[in-house]
Amino acid sequence: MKKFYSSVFILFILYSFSNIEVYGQKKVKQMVVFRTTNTHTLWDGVAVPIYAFASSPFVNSILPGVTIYATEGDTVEINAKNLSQGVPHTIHLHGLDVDTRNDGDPMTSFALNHQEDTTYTFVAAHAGTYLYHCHFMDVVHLQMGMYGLVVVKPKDVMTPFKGGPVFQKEYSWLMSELDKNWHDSLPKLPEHTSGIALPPYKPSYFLINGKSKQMLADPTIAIAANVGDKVYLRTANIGYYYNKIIFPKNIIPTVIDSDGRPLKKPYTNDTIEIVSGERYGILFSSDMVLKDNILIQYYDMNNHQLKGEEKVQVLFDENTNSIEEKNVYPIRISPNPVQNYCNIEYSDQSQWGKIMVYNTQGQLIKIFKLEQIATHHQLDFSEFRDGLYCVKFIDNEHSTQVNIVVRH
Amino acid sequence: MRKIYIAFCAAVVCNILFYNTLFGNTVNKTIYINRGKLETFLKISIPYLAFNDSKDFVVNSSIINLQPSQKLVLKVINNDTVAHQFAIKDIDGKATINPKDSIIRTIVFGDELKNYIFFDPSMFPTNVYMGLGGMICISKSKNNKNFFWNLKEHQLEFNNAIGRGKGVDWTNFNPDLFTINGFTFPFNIDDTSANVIANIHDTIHIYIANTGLGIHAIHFHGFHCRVIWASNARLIDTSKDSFPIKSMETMLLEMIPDKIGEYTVHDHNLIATTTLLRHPSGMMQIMKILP
Repeated sequence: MKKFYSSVFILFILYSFSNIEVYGQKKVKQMVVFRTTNTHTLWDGVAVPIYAFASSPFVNSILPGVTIYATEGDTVEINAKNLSQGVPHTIHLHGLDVDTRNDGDPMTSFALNHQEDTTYTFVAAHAGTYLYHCHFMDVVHLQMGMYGLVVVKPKDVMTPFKGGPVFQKEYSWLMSELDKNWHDSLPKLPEHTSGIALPPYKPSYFLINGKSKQMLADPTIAIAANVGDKVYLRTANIGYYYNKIIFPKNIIPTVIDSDGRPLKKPYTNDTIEIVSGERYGILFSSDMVLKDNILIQYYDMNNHQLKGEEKVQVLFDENTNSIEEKNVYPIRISPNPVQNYCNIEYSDQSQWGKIMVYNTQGQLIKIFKLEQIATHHQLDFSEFRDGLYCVKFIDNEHSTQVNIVVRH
Repeated sequence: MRKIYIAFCAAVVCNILFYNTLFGNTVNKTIYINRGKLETFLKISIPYLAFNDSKDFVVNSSIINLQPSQKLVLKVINNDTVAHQFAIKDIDGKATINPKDSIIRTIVFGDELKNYIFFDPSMFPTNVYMGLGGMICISKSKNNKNFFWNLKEHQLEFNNAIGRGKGVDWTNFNPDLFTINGFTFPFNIDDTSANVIANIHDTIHIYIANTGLGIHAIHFHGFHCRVIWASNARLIDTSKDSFPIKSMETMLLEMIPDKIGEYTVHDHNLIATTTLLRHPSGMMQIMKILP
């Protein structure tokens, strides 16, 4: 009888753990350091002082802060540390519906003083696009650059949300404005206290991901896809103006989600309006070769006056990335999707010197150096997040690339 | 048998309609057009107008609450020294009211939960800008916690100029005062019609009207809200945390809080969270969700 109870107990424990495996989710950790000492260089070479987020104490802060990625169901811990020499800061998790403790509004929660740290936690309950930003004297600290995106992906990474449409390319645009006068004068103001008096807001730089004008050719911003590809564009507005995103006439965009929730009735319009704090997910494609611009306008919310415009190139071309076109040296990857390891097989002995892996934002994630000439290699993707990656094979004279999906 | 059943149903429906028409489904309401002053931050006061429930001026314009399908018999008395007009947006044409005169409007509303703006359309947007914009709200359940936000922005020198009878150039509009029901944060904490205080799992309905000229971007901390009604039809039945509301638009939001605590709600055009460019102030409030 005792053995029976022991067996039942062990089975119960095993069952419990099996449930944890099934229903438990990953814990994502991200460090965010508050700094007030860096500058941000604008399209005309002007450098302005910024308050901004850094992803560790050993790197510079950037405008906007790094995008925080999570998968639906993950628990995300943001380890925040204030190294800003006297100015309090917080992190507000905009749209993530956190409790008061994790909300980051100093009027209802708390702020971090210099050298203090804390952990903000949220559960990534809904796939979608969100924001994080400082909420201490927020009208000042947002303008100074303390903001970034939070992207929650569904488990099926090539859709915007569970059951959503499949896309091939993904971009994120975070719109804002910058008033140089605020940046030049505010850091010199006495300690921020309640009732601070501000200069009039007259921004002269209109930003997407901190960039404007010729800087918008950045491959993480300018859109390049194959004819027929579905492009998913995450848009968010953290400025104090509202934006009109105007698509060229041969592209018909469909708004499919907003503020981290799918729309029950997606709608199509050539102009998408987005006010401060909002996020919209936009899906579009082209069935013909097309090279044009998407126009982004910035309007004063109070008097509807157009204050600025930016253009981003959109290119739909014949097989810009296709394996058939560019893979002049046939490469076979299996399995794809990749769980942990993938095998690379070549038709002849490989001369490739290195393999570079990029994420959908165009960021270089890893370089595999290939020291042996061989007909196959095995690559370890076990530390990669779930998602789509572009794998680029490079030697002295040639390069070719293929897309792979990592799904653990 | 079928005929008897149809006749019985018809009789019941007629009886209900007859009863409701004669007894209890008509709301009689009188509002006044009053002239006064809006006092704000730093004890600055500016000329202002309002629709009020009595002859005494108060800064927050009337909110008329109705049940679905009720008939409103509304008497509007012009207590001002100049003529005004009265209209209900999307419902009723404008009528002129001379000083010390009055009009009576009779309107039967539908059964849809939504809100309407009533306003003075004369010299548009001058008189509605000066405060003559109020709200009619159709609310179904008395068990809901209902709150009412009339959003507006003001430029002090514009109010002073209009108060002196001078014209203004609206293309130079750069507001420096942002209010909910005529109050700016933190002086709105006693406005029980606007300040959300509710219990966890309550069904909260927030009726919002923008009687100002700009666009407001209302962002909720802590919660997504479902849009029950919006002048912008694309927003209806969406679940969002940040809501655009344009000039002379209305919106009805439903929020069912799943956690206790204090949560800020504010215009995310953060210039609107200032008064005379002093921060924090303006269009914001703190919601309290109790156990």
